[in-house]
Amino acid sequence: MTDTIFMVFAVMSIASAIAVVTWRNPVHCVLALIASFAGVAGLFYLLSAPFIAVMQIIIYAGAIIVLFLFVIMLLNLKKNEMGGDAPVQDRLFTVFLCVITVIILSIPVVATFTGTFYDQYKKTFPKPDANLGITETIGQEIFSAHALAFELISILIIAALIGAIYLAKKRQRG
Amino acid sequence: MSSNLLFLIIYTLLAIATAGGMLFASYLLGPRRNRELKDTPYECGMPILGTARERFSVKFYLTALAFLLFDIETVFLIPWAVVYKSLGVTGLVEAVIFILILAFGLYYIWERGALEWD
Amino acid sequence: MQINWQLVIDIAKAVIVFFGILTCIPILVYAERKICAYIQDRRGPNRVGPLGLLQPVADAIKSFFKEDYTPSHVDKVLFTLAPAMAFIAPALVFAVIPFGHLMEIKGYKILPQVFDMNIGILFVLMIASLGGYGLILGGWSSNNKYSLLGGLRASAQMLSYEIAMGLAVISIIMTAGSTRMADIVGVQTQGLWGTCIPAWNIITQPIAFIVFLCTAFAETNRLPFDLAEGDSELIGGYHTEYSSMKFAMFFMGEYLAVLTMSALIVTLFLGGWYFPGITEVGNTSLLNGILSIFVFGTKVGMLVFFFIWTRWTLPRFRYDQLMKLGWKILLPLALFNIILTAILGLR
Repeated sequence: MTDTIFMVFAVMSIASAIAVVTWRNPVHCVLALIASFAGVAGLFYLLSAPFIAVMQIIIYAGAIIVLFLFVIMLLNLKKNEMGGDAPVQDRLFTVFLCVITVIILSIPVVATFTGTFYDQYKKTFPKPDANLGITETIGQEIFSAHALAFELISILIIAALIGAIYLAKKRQRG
Repeated sequence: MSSNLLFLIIYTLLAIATAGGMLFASYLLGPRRNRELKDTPYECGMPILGTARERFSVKFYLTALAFLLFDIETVFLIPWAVVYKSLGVTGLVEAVIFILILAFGLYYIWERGALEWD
Repeated sequence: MQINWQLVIDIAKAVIVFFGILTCIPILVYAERKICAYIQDRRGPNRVGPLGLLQPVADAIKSFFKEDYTPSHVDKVLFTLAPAMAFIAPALVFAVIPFGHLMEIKGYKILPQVFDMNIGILFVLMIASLGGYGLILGGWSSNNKYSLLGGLRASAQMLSYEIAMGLAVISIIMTAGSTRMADIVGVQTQGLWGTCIPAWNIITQPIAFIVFLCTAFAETNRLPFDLAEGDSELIGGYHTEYSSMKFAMFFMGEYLAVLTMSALIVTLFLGGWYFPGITEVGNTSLLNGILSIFVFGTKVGMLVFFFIWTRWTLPRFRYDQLMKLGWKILLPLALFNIILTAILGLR
């Protein structure tokens, strides 16, 4: 049962991720990105991290995507402004880069589940704690061990806020 | 018990199926009378001016950005809200510093007029 | 083969709840038209069936048989998807709302809630954050400048009020010490200061209640916050180009949103299914269960009436007033309330 649900979410996130990079209409891509995030959120939920799953949707699918959508609609690029297809050598280079990235990323995945490392891992690592992903644990952790990092986040947010206002307002002044 | 994800999935599929079924039913049942004028955007019968693919005010973008940042703040406060009693005064001080820094952010965008719409 | 009857009951429950809230839509439509009529000193629908009771049925049949026209200038995929999204999102919220006390019949447990989630209230916030997409995509895909403006207004408005809503919810989480809906109701079933006055959050969290109520109106896009439609300025707003069932689905979505928002306010602030003297905590008999569902339904009905009453009483905001209310009043108020709750709670 859980395996089936896992497969559905996994296929959903990968298929929509492919759609994001292959579809031509940017607004459709954004929609596919939402579906991809929803799939990833489902995976987080299955990993008994419900809080992260919900955050994935609220922050990424709910807030960042709206920003993407507004940028796309704000610019409203016409067909001729988007530029035509890239030259052949550029596209070949892109494919080459993709292949290299996939190979590099799959090395740790394959290594984890095969050979001596996996045996070692199974022996030494304790079973994951089911309470690790719940909101209470996250709250305890953030406010005791990671208090400084937490306060720095607010500085980071404020820096982003000031930067955005500055960029948006600059044109109007001058 | 009712904590099984299966029920939520069934419920969601039911909602999607109903929505799809209604769209399909009205597609089947409705008449089809094509008229050229139906293909123009409706603007109360006035001649159409410009297109809908215009660039719009940067205000909307700023609102979305401010929303994103304050949404992150909300999200970080949720774990604190659940356990604030056991965290005690230390947790309260940490959270209040966090809230005050962001309240300053709100004050900043307020002063810079990013919240003015007239 | 052994049939797992508990599973069958729970699945049947999910199906019944979904069609139950669907059935509420025509009732809400009828109530809205009738109440609006009496507020405006008219009689309202009174031709189809006794007292006009069959009017919503006639409306539904009419929308199915109207021409379902997709103009050639629209983005066809999104144009079809948008009303479906506007309809599905509010329906999902109801899945995590506990609308009654647990019942036990012959060893089988019937909990009047589709999905008892540990993070129920966060699930609600999650769906709320996706709720605006139906409107903005409907507005954009229509390729009509009035629709686009309606969609943009709707999404900027929903974004602005979502933060205040989230912050109001945080103070509720603080009083309950949990993100589970059942715990939030559980806290409210206790007596206040040792009396029989229930500790409903409307009494213990009045500021959060006011903030949440305002944002609830804004999130459902109803007057005084219906700038997304704003018929005197934007024709029909985001649904200008829609016809037939696609148009009706936006409306069903709106009524579903009113219903789920009312249910949510009842759960978060008005004690959910609990009413002192009528429902008992811990009593798993069938009678207590049915009474609790009845209490919950009555409270939701009263709030729905309040939603309709407000709609036909207040005029529409200007856009700058709307943004000012959201960012400059509700947001600081909600932040202040969180700090206040924390200080009072730790005392």
